[in-house]
Amino acid sequence: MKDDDIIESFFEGMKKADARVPVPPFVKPVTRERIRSSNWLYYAAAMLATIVVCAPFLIRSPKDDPKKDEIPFSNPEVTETGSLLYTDEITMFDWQSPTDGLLEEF
Amino acid sequence: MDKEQLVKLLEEKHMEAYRWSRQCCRFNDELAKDVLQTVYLKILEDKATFNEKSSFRTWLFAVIRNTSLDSLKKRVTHDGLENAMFISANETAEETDYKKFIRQLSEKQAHVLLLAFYHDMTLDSISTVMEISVGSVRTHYERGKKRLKELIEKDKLQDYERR
Repeated sequence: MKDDDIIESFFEGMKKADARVPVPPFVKPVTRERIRSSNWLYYAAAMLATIVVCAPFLIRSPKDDPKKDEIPFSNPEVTETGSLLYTDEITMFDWQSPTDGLLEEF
Repeated sequence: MDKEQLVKLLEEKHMEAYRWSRQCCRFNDELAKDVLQTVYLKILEDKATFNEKSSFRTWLFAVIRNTSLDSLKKRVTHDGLENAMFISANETAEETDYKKFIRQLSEKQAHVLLLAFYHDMTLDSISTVMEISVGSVRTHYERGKKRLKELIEKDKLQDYERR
């Protein structure tokens, strides 16, 4: 048997064995162009949805505007020290140290 | 050539392309499918352009070979050489016979012989697919044939001794 005959019969056998191996069906791949064009639609839809949701908040009539913040002064009277709390106020002259008595005893 | 024509040609050559992809991927079916999908994407996205210097089939085989070699390189670096050999435990002895012989040849010898004897390509077309000179193709062809013949004869002898 010639060299080529041995090789040829080997590959013929291989072809027969491969004929039993199933070939997956041809699937046309989704190209990026198609993905990109469909992405555009998604972006446009998302943008539209955002506008629809935000529109009532963005477009307001002047009537709806709340009045400017007003800070009511419930106690406009100012205490001697300027404190807003009403406590018995002691001036520096009236103040006595709690340890004053000790100093006197010594 | 427009996209529709390309899709039609790819569909026509699909079976042959799958078989070649499988052979380039050392008979790993899953990898062969992935490679083929990558190839189709490359072609339809114009990343691989058919310039009509060779036949469509020759050019398609070249794209498949390059893509599968890239995939195999990635597999070797990521998973180690062991996994790149892809010897499935489920394969029966009879099924693996042909693969076993092909795997024992060098990558270039195996590809040249497969293209010449299995896919009936001329040496000129093989040189286009493999991007090497016709002289180199002839060298791999002769050495591959010699090596394959030795392997077949050795196997026959071992088979005879077993009996």
